[in-house]
Amino acid sequence: MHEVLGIPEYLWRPIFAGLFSGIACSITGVFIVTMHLSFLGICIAHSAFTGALFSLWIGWNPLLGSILFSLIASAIVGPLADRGELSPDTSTGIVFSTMLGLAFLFLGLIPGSKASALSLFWGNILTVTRMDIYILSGITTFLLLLFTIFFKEIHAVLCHRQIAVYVGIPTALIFYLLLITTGLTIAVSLQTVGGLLIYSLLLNPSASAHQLTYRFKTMLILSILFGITSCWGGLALSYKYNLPTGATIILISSLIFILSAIFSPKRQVKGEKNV
Amino acid sequence: MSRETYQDNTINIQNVSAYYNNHPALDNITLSFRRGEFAVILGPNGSGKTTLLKILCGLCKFQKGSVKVLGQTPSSYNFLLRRKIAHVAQVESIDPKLPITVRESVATGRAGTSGLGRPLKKSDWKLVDTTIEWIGISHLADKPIGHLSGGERQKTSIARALVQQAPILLLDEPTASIDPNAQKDILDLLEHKMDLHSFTTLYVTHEISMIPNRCDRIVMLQNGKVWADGKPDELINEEKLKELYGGNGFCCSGKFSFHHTHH
Ligand SMILES: Nc1ncnc2c1ncn2[C@@H]1O[C@H](COP(=O)(O)OP(=O)(O)OP(=O)(O)O)[C@@H](O)[C@H]1O
Ligand SMILES: [Mg+2]
Repeated sequence: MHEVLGIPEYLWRPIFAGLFSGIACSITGVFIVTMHLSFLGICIAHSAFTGALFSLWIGWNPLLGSILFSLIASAIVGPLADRGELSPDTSTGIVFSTMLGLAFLFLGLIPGSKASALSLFWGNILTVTRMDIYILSGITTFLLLLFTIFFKEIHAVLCHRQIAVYVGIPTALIFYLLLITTGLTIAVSLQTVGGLLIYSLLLNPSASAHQLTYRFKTMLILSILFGITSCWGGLALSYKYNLPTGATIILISSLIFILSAIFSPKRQVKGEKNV
Repeated sequence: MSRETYQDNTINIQNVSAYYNNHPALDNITLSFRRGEFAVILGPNGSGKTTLLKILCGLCKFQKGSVKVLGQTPSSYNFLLRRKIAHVAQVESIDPKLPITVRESVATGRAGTSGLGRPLKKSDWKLVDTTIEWIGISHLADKPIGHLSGGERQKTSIARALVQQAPILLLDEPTASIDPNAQKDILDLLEHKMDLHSFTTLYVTHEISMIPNRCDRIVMLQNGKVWADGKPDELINEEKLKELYGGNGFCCSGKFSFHHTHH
């Protein structure tokens, strides 16, 4: 077996894919978790999945459909939630279920074998292409730049959305920029990590970091570290014990969350209040 | 900021009515405020004070009339104009787990003014730290905002509005849950800052015994209408207040700082 730095060559692409998805998903996750938009994240992930199925049906590249559908979902859910006539959960739920319906429809319409469609569920981090890695690294760089340049605006919008409006931050612009980037990140990661894995990569690292700190910068850094740890740890476990990669990645990220929740200082605060 | 023209700094409210589900919260109000004016707005609960301030900062729609703040109508406010209106809201809900400290929260007040995509400068942080000290919350600076008491949170909001150094300052019962001594300190501070920046200040309060000496105008609202508008020494007296708030006049049995300083 050909090895580079003691690691089999075929593992290098998954390692990079894990690195980039780990970073991108956990940064997006910080946005989602701090603003309580978990359900919205799941809804967008679902839409990306539906879009990929749509592409398979009409013979496009799945990435194209994923991007299209996740952007459509963000464009519908964002303003609906903003206008406040329906509760955000309700409007997200409606879009979510519509997308689910469409997913089943496209799944039924795809001619021939459904194998490629089903592989979207679990993704195939072991067989990512060079192109996938480029795209993933692109979106990761974009996210890192976005959070570096607009750090203070993003911090304000995430923590004090209404106040951010009063003090003259273009809040809607920042919010939609984040929402669209979320859509893109999810669509791009779907190809590599799969529909089911995305939820855990989006939510677990950032939710764990959220448990552990009141510092926004620390939360971002921890979240990224947890994301990468989950991906790389999962890869290593699956390689060593011959387990399904998606499953090991998810389980490691969940384990991190459970540990964070147990050791969370915020949990103690809540306990005090409940007494 | 001091270079704004006189015209730019006025608030003009012409025949404005605002309805919530056909119930008028403001009923044909006409008011205008000069630059540098410190107006205290009084009125019983539900008289429309919050609605008035919300209209001025573009958070609430109105159905009739016209409003101009710094020459612009609220529906056309952009984020650049909002930087010139600092606002302390009556109710601010805060998620107790938010990853933001008191100091960072106060610094949000500089986040607009200092420019999009630019980190805060040393001078911004210095202003944040001095203001935090003036308001008396330095010992809380590194606490997460979700861990504050109600009054501490209000102090944080006031500090945030002050560091914004906006020409217009809208304060909606900013000291409602702050203890009397700290209230006095903060009012003194407001007056002090006022001289420095010539803010136009609209100050909503129920504390008639703590009306700042610097106040040069009282606007009394009742049932969404301007019920009285004039100098404090004309309006802050037992008779008027009894009439404004109704009831048995219990509130007016106390003394008013204004009454005292002017006699
Ligand atoms: N969101 C809303 N929906 C419906 N009615 C509202 C809403 N907000 C305020 N109102 C009504 O409008 C009127 C004016 O309310 P506003 O909040 O301006 O009063 P206020 O003078 O600030 O009172 P307070 O002293 O209690 O703060 C009240 O009758 C209130 O019930
Ligand atoms: Mg009010």
